[in-house]
Amino acid sequence: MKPISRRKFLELCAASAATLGLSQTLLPELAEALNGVLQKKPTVLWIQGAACSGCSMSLLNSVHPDLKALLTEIINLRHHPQLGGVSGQSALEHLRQAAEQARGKFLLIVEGAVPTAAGGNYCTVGVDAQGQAITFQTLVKDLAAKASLVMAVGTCAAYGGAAAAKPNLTGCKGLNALVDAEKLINVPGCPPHPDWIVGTLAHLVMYGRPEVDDFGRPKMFYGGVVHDNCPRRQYFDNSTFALTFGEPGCLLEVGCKGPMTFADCSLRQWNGGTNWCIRSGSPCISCTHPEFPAGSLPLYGRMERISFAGIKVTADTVGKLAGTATALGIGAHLAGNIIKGRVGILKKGVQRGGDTVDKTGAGPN
Amino acid sequence: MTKLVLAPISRVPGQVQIELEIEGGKVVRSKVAGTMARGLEATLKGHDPRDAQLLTQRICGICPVAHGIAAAQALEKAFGAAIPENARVMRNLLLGANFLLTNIYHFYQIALPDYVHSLPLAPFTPGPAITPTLPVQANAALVQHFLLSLEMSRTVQEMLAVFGGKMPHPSAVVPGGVTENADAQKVTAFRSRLREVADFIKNVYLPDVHTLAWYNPQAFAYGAGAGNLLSLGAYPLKDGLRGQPEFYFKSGRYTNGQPGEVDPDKIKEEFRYAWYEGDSFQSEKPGAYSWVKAPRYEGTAYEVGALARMVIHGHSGVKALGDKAFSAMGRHIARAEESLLLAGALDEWLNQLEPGKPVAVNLNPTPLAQGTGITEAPQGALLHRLEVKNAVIHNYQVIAPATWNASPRDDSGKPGPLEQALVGTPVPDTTNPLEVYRVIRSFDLCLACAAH
Repeated sequence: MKPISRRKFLELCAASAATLGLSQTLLPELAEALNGVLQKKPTVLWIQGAACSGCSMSLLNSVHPDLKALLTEIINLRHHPQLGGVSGQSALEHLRQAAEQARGKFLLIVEGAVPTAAGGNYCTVGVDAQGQAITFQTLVKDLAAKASLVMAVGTCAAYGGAAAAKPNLTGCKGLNALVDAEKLINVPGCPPHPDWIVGTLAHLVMYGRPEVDDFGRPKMFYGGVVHDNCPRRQYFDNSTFALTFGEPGCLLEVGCKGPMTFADCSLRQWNGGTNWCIRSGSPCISCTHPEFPAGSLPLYGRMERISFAGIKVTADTVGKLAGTATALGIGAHLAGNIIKGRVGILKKGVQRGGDTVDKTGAGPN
Repeated sequence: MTKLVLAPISRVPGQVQIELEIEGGKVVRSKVAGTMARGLEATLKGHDPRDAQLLTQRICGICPVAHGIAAAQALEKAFGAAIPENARVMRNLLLGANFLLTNIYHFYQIALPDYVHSLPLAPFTPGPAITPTLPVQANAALVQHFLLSLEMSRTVQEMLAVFGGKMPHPSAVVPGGVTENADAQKVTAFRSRLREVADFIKNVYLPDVHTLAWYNPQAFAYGAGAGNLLSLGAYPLKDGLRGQPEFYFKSGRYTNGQPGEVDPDKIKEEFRYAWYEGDSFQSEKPGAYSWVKAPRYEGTAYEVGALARMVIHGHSGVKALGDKAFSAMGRHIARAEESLLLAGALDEWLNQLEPGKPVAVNLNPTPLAQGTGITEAPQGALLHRLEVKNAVIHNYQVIAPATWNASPRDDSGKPGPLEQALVGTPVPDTTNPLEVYRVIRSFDLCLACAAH
């Protein structure tokens, strides 16, 4: 017997941010709701590759439920290289055993990109009984084949991210290039908000796979655009732009990528509602974007200087773009730029934005 | 002689592999290898120089503030910008918060499970096989504090977000200053959390380290290393704006027991035993065994980190330890003492913020420039070197703390600091080299930083 419906769950995930205006995050009710639902906590195995550990540090910031509640009540996290466990060959043996015991039933979480150049030698995670190095690439392939589902935590794991930026000497790839889309859920961000990680986990545990967008991101967290609910939105509408850091005004001229960024930061905020990039006067760098960081450079350059590989705005799509852009609430300044073809916006991204928010019931309405 | 290959080393961020030769129950030779590289320096080339600050933060999600500040400094030196007072103070507050976060995280999450039985809960169990030296109640108290430290991690990250925007990977440090304004509300938000954390450091963290030390006196007897220490200095003070900058944590060296000065230009990276030729990867290079290069100061390997900072700072508590400070346990004491010192300093620095005053200046990039950014990350000395040509980044070089500590042998074959510290470590049981793990984790290593 599930104490709350999926619909209610999605409302909790989103509404907490929308109605309170600060991150009470996944409300305490959610943690309570989960308590008792689970007869048997599902096995989760977390591995790290070409990573900076930022995603794991972000996980520590989860408020409701906090890490302790997550581990005691929601999941059976049998492997996390940074949180604990044994070292040496027995660590990998323990990981192998856990995967065998829960074969076909466990969730694999991957943090960091997967280096594929030089036979994967740019990241080895240990040695086998013969003393041969085991590459992260081999580990990911082996475990992904045995997992019921794979969750890419962070932009590096999902799409390559900073680790795969040009010239990408190590041949880093995101899981989107290595794992079947049906088996993969992407939770990008540099790092991802802890609510996105824990909320996606909770959805998986209680209701199965959440609805995802064309880039494999759960719509309940990535369905809206940062620009939509930006606290500096009034400045944008009034054409008041900050030209120096620390000034009041919309941050578009100092590089904000909020209008092209699908994430709910403007409502959810970060670190338990303490602050977030735009509130602190810093432009959004679109860290949840599949093309981050390349697609966001120069970070402090106005968006119109940005171009995405393979995206061309044709006369035919301009109409649609302008229409959707209005629906999204992108104002006259940007719409003008789109019509002039100066802003490249991912075509799928824009089509997605308007309707998904309502369908999932997770939108701010 | 027994040979051991240890990998992975759990809880140490990044990928590290350690090879040991053991004779007569002791380590006689060791090799420390970083087994992961991303080549992030190369990704900066050709881009707007101002992008360096947020991109290099991605080297490390545990100490991003230090990378951001080093990069911003390199840019400001290259383009001749003097940042406003508020920016200097705010950067000190952000860096200080990052130090507290990392020091607390390191002790409870990374080091403690080598001494006490951790929580009987996955993924903490199965943990290291240890024979507890602490009485049952003391062990239980430390496990409770381990849980409390998770809450502290969150609180310190919130504190950092107050002026940093978010954490990890804060957004607010920019070339030319910071983006967040100082106001009374934010000062209060920062201070209330700081007081909570300071209370934890004074009444829980520092006493816990001393309790652990009391019941593990043998951990002062191994892990010394060569005892050569280096700090690049951090936390510029107000008075330092006249002429040479003055730092709260001074720069300096400690070589064979003698103090000395540091000239960052004398730091060179060697790579005979690393998979590089110059700045290029050479994954098939014969004889090489690590993705980490070997930084040396006039040919000498220096240990960096809290122990180096506290000895060079002249901290009385650390000095009182004498030679015992150079040990597996000594490093934990240095880190805890440093945390207490910093918590007090942050409270004072918070008063230096001036609401309403500017926080940033505009940078005027020139097509040709170079600059060096130097600071301390929690894990030790951090150096960023920037070269700009045709208005884009032509070359970028990062020497991170763990590049020093986890470095392989240098061109003359001399081992790195951790390699030196491991030699002599007792290994009573080759199936469970617990003392070796204690030495490894006494350094606050981050292998993601080391090779970057």
